[in-house]
Amino acid sequence: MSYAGCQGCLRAEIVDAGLIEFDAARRLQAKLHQRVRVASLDAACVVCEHLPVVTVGRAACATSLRVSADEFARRAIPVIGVERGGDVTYHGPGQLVVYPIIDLSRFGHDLRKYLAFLELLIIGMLDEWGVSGTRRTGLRGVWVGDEKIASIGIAVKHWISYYGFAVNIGTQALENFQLIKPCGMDIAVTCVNIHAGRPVAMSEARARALAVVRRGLCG
Amino acid sequence: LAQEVKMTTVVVPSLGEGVESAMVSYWYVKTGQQVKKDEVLVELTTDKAAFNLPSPCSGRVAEIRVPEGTQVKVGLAIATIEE
Repeated sequence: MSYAGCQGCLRAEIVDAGLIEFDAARRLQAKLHQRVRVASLDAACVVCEHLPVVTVGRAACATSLRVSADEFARRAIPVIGVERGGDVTYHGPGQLVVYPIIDLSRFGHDLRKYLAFLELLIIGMLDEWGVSGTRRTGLRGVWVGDEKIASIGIAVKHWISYYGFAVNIGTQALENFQLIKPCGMDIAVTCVNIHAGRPVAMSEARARALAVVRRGLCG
Repeated sequence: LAQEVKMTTVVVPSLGEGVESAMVSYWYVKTGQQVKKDEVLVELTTDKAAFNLPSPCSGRVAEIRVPEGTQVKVGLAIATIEE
């Protein structure tokens, strides 16, 4: 895990947490959220990759899990209820996860404006790999054609946002999506390595995310 | 002498342009419970975001007006705090 101050915004903390369990990232976000709340930081961000986990957001439907609890247990995939918006999603190796922690006064206390900002941040990141991501009317996340490449979901406490977005980088990130209905929908998912024309390593993806976050959140 | 009691209404705040309603997804408090200013009262969810609404003042939760699972419009009174 590495920590770095942020250029152009001295009181930001960007954490490259590497491959970590979901609960560890949750605890790290809670600490950073508190520091932003008491204004010892202006902003923070955790960039990481998770061990396999299915997270169930506040808007989840019972039908969004396609297999039984026993089957998830057999595959050693925990199913965890989380305090973010949205439905069900999967995190695992090969997927880039970014949790910006930011005071939404910078976005006029407008949730949709912030969600749109995150989607544009993802689209910019994908563009640097030659992948054309788009937003779709009435749907959240970032898409390549009809396939979803990045999911989004936030929680807000004291007008400071946490959680954020996940971008599928490697094909191994896609395998376990068959166990769920991503975001409660019957949709296909895709990843950067299918569209980039070359394999993008997770170390490169995290480095790209760190740069994009520094530029986007703290510039 | 009778002590003056001030009642403060908790309303669904503006959550951004185009956001007209949200769902009451979780009450962190119960009627009769003492709360402090800024303590989270309720979680509202909308459009991929879970928003935690803090108490505007310290006091006792006098009334919770809407149950979990209810879709509520921005500006609607959803609870009352007795200061």
